Amino acid sequence: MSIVYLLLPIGILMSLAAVIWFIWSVRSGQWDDLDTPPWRALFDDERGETQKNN
Amino acid sequence: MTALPKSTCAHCGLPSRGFSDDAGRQFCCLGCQTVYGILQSEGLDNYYALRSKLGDGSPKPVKQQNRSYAEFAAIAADANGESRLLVPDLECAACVWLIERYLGRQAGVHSVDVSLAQKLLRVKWDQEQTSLQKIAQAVARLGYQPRIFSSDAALAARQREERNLWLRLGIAGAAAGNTMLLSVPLYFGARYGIESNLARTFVWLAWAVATPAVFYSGWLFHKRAWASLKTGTLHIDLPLSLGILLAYAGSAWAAIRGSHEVYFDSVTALVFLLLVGRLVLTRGHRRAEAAAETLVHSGNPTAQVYQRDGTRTIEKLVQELQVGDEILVPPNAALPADGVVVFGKSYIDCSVLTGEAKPQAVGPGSQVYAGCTNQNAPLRVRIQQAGAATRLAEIAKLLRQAASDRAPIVEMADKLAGWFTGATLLASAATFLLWLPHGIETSLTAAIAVAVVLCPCALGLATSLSLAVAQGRAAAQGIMFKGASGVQRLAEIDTLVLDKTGTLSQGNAAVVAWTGLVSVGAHDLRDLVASIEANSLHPLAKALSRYGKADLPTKAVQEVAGAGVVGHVAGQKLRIGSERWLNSTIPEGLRRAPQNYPLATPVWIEVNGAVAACAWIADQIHADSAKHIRELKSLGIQPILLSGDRTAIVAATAATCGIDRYMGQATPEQKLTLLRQVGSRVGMVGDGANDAAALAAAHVGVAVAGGVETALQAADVYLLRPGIGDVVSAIQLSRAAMRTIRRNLKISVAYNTIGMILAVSGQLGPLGAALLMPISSLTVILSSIWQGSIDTNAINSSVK
Repeated sequence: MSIVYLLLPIGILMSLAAVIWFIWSVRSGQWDDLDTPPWRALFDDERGETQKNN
Repeated sequence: MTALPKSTCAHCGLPSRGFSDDAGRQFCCLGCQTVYGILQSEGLDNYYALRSKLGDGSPKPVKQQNRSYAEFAAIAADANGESRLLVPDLECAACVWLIERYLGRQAGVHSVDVSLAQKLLRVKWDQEQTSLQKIAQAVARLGYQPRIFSSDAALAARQREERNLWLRLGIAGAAAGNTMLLSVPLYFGARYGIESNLARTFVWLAWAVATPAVFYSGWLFHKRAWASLKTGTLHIDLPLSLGILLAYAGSAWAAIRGSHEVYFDSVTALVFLLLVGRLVLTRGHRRAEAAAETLVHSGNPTAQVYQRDGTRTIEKLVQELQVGDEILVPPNAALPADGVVVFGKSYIDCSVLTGEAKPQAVGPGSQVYAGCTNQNAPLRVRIQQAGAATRLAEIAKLLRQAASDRAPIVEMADKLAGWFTGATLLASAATFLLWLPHGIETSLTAAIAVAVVLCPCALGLATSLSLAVAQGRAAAQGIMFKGASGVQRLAEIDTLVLDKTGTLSQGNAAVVAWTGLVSVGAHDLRDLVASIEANSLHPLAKALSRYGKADLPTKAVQEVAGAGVVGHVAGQKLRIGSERWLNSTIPEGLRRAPQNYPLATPVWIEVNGAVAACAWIADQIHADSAKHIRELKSLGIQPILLSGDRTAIVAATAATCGIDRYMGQATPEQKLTLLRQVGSRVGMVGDGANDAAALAAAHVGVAVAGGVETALQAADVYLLRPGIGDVVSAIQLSRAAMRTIRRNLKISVAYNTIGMILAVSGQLGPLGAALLMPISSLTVILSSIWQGSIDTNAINSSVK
C-alpha cells in the first residue's frame, strides 16, 4: 500500500495544475459571458469567404 | 409587375406603408428599406434565415436617427487597441451575427466581439485607418443605436466581483471533490480497519485541501457574519459562518489528536453549495441590471446649437449647453433643456413630465421643458434653464430624497439567523456535556457532529435559490426584478397605485371610436383616410394613418396647419380636420362622443362635400386593462388610479377599468403625498418622470416599458412589455416565490431537527453528516426549481 505515498502527491500536483489553469481562465475573462458562445455554434459560415476567427 | 404588391415590409414583416425600392419590394419605412439594401449588397441576407431560427419572432421596424455620432470622434482605443460600445437594441443572436460580419468588413477593423447578454460591442480597431465615429456610423447604418460605453467603472466593479465569485467557487469545488475522495478510505477504514499511518496521511491531506476552501472561498460568509456581529443586526451568514468554522476547527482538533472522525468533506461541500446558490443569484441580478440599463431612454447626448450668425448650427454635447443658447429641436427629438420657443410651430408631448397625454400646441413665446418630445415640425428654442436647473432635474432631486426614506427590509431567513446561531452553540455545548461521562474524545466528536448538522446549509440555499429561480422565470416573461428584495416586497402589497398614461393606456393618440359611414363605394373609408393622412406628421394624423390600410394612391394632398388636410384618393375628394375646416355642416347624429372617452378629440371627415364620419381620437386604454384590474382585485389588492392628466379623462378611465378610487391632475409632489397617506404596503406602477418620486417612496415600484430614465432608476421592477398584465403576473410570481421560500424553510428546519436528534444521541458520524447535508440541499434545490409547477395550478384556479 505504500505506493499510495507516491500516488497522493502526484494526484495533488495534478489537481493543483488544474486549479491554476482555472484561475488563469477566469482572470482572462473567459467566464464573463457564458450566454453568447452557445449561439455561435448555430452561425453559418459565410458564403464564398473563409471563416474569420473570433 | 404582375400581381398586386405584397403589403408587408420585406425587412420587418409589419404592414408596408408605401416605401418601395427599384425591384418593387415593399417596406414600412425608409429605415427598413435602407437596411434591406445594405444586407443585399453586402451578401448578408442570410440574416433573415438566422433571425427566424434564432430570434424570438417579434418584428421591429428599423428606427433611424440622422446623427453624425460626433461624440465618438474623440475617443481613442485603449492599450489593447480595443474600444467598447453599448448597443441596447440588440435583439437576438442573428443581430450578433450581422453586426460581427458587417463591422468586420469595414476598413481598419481587426476584430469584433458582441456579447448579447451584456449588449456590449468590443471592437479592435486601427487608429490610423478609421475612427470610432465611423464604426458607430456603420453600426447605425444597420439600424442599431450605438452609445458611448460610459459606465465603465460600474461594469468593471461588477465584473471583478463576478470573477471573484467564480474563483472562489472553483477552488471550493476542487476542494470539495478532493476531500470527498480522500474521505472514502477513511469511511472504509472505519468499517474494515485501516493502517494508522495511512489514515493519518489522508486526514492531514484533507485538512490541507480544505483550508483554502474554508478561508478563501468561505470568506464571503465570514466577512458578512463578522459585520453582522459588530452591528448587532442578524444575517443568515452568521450561523453559516459559525457552522463552517466550528466544523473546521473541530476536525482540525481531531486531526491533531490522531482521531479519524473528521468532517472536512462536509465542510467543503457546504461551502461549495452555498457559493453555487450565491452565484446563481448574482447572475440573475446582473441580467436584470443589464436589461434595465438598456431600457434607459437617454435622450440624444448632443444638440444642434445655432451659431452667432444665426443660420448655421454645430453639434454640442448636452452638458455644454448654456442659458441663452438657441438650439434646433427636430421632429421626434426630445428637448434637452427648458426654454422658450423663438421660431416654429409644432406640438410637443409632455406626458413623461406631466402625465397629460394630449400633445400641446406651441409657437413663438411658448414655454417648453426638458424631457418633452417635439412632434411634427422643427423648433428653434432659446434655453432658459439647462442641466440641473431644469424641471426634469428637479424631479430627479425629489426622487433622491424620497428614495433615502425607504424603510429597511428584514429578510425572512435573517429572522431565523439568530435562532440558528443560538441553537447551534447551545446544542453543541449540551451535547458535549451530555457525552462527557463517556470520555472527552466521544463527547467532542458528538459536539462536532451537532455543529456540522445544525449548520443551515439548506437554509442558506432556501432563500437565494428560489429567489433566483423566480427572477429567471420573470425575466423570461419580460419582468425584470432589480434585486431579490423586490420579489419579497411585491408579494407583500395590499394596495396598488397605478399611473394612467403609458401604464393603463397606450400613452399616445389613437382612434378610439368611429361614428358615421364605414365604406364609400368599394373602399373602406378608414383606408381612404389613412392613405391621405399617411404623409402628415401631425400627431392626430399618425393615429388616423394607423387606423386603416394606408396603401391607396393619393392626389393633390394639401395640409393646413392647425386646421386639416384635403386630398383626392380612389376617386373621392376627402376633407379631414376640425369643425372650422369643413365646408358643410355636421349632422347632429355624429356628434356623440364615445362613452368611455368623453373628452376625445373629434376629427371630422367630409367626403365629396358631405360630412360622412367622425374619428374620435384619445389616449386609448389597453383592451385588457379592465380584465387585469379584476385579476388584481381577486388577488386581494386594491387599485388606485393616480394621474397628472385632466380629471374628467381620469374619471372615465377609472370607470372603464373598474377602479373605485382615483385622482386626476396630480403633480409629482401630490403623488408622493397621496402615496404616503394610503398606507405602508403600497405598490406603485408608472412610467414617467412625474412618477419617479412616488416609485421610490412606495413599498415597491414598478416601471413600465418605455419609461424615462428617472423612473427606471427609482423602480424595483421593470416591465419590458406595455400594459399591466405583466404586473399581475409579477405579483403572482413573487407570491409563489415567497410560498416556496416558506416551504424551503420548513424543509430545512425539519432536516436540521432530525439531524440534531441523531447527532445528540450519538448516532450520527461524519458519514451520516456527509450524507444528510447534500440530501437536504437537494430537496431544497428541487423544491425551488419546481416552485412554478406546484403552485401554478393553484394560481390558475383562484383567478377567474
